[in-house]
Amino acid sequence: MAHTSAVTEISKLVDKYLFKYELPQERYFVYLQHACDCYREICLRHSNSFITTKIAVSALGIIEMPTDMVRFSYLFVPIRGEWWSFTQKGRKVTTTTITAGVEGQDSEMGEGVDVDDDVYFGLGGKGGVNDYYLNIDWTARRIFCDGFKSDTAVLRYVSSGLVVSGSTYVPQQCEATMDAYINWRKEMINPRSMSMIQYLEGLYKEEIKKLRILNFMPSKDEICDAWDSATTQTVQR
Amino acid sequence: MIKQEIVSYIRSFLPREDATQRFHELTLTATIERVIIEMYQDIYKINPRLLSKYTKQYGETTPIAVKLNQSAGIYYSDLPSKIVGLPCSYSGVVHVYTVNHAGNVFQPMDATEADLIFNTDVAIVTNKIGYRTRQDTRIDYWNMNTTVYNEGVRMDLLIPFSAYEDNDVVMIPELGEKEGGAFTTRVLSLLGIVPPADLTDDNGARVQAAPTNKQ
Repeated sequence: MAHTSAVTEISKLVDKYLFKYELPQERYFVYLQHACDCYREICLRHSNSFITTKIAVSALGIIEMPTDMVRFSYLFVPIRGEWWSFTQKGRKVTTTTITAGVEGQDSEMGEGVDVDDDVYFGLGGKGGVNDYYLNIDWTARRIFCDGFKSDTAVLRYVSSGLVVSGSTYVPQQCEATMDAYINWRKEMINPRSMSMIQYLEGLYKEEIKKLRILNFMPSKDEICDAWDSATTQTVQR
Repeated sequence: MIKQEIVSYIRSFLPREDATQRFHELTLTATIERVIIEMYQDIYKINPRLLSKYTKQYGETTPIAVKLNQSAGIYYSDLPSKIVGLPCSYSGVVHVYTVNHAGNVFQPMDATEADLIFNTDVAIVTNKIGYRTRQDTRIDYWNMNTTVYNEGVRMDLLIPFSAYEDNDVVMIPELGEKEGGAFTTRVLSLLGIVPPADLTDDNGARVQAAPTNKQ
């Protein structure tokens, strides 16, 4: 049996909104902008959808962030069929040195120098160590890698959700949330009363709560798996 | 009713003797036009979506051409008729369609929206075409595409009574006394045949002035 698609184009979502609430088309583009704002907010805070992409690491160990990246999730290298993740180290040096117009690294300033993990005890003891570290410079929109250069890593990140070339598709479960958001914002454009604004804001928050439960609560199977993996079926000694 | 019948119908209420040409054909048409425009505006206040019922369709046989102002880079169409002005962005251009009906392609916008939209997410995510109604019986398009440019468009226009052909069916808005008066009453009232309705609510108890003790 054929069913409707699980995703809707964002423009069609606003078409449906006008249709459902019997509104004139006059403010279509304004509502569409609010829909974009809402979807970006959902992607950033209330969704578990990520983009996973192979990305080049330069000879200086630097990754240039994709333009749509709004939040970092993981940086991986594949090891024996699994992804091994980099550890974030906030003190990894993120400066570079320009010499005769060419970007390079000055090792005396710690640039490009791998983190030394060979101190295991005393004040310099590191605890758990990793072969790979990273530090993010959000202003420069760069990720500095440690122990990994001139190679390809796998970056998992949260995107703005808005597609530049092609259509932007929104999951069906976001539709009620986005309707509630546009209703709330529409009320702020031509407010009838403060209590109405607060009422609609409350409805939006309720929809967000429902969406978060759907996106983040584990399923029964996941809970069972977690339980089973923490227990043994042999005699406890 | 067709346009001619409406004029004849109104004429049937008028005195037969009209030595001063007070009820000239043009006067009647202008009065009817004014009343119908008022009624369109009343309907707009009730629910703008109801206006589509009173529009006239253009471009069904021969599509209305989309032109390009090369120097400004603006796509536009000349309106095939005068339109009724309404206090909204689309004014009398109630709908614009593609020649082969594709569903909700064109969206009305005002001048400010048309100017600001370039720097918004809307400009990135949508392939809808915006249209801005201008005073000079022309609409400008935003985000026009090649297919529509080549094929032309259809339109539903809200046009004044005088712009209808004599044999065109003209839908008279079905407003009653509660919504400001029916069509005939309004026209005859404007022509001075029926005095305007007394809308003053003076049925309440009147307050008498207190007696004074001035001497």
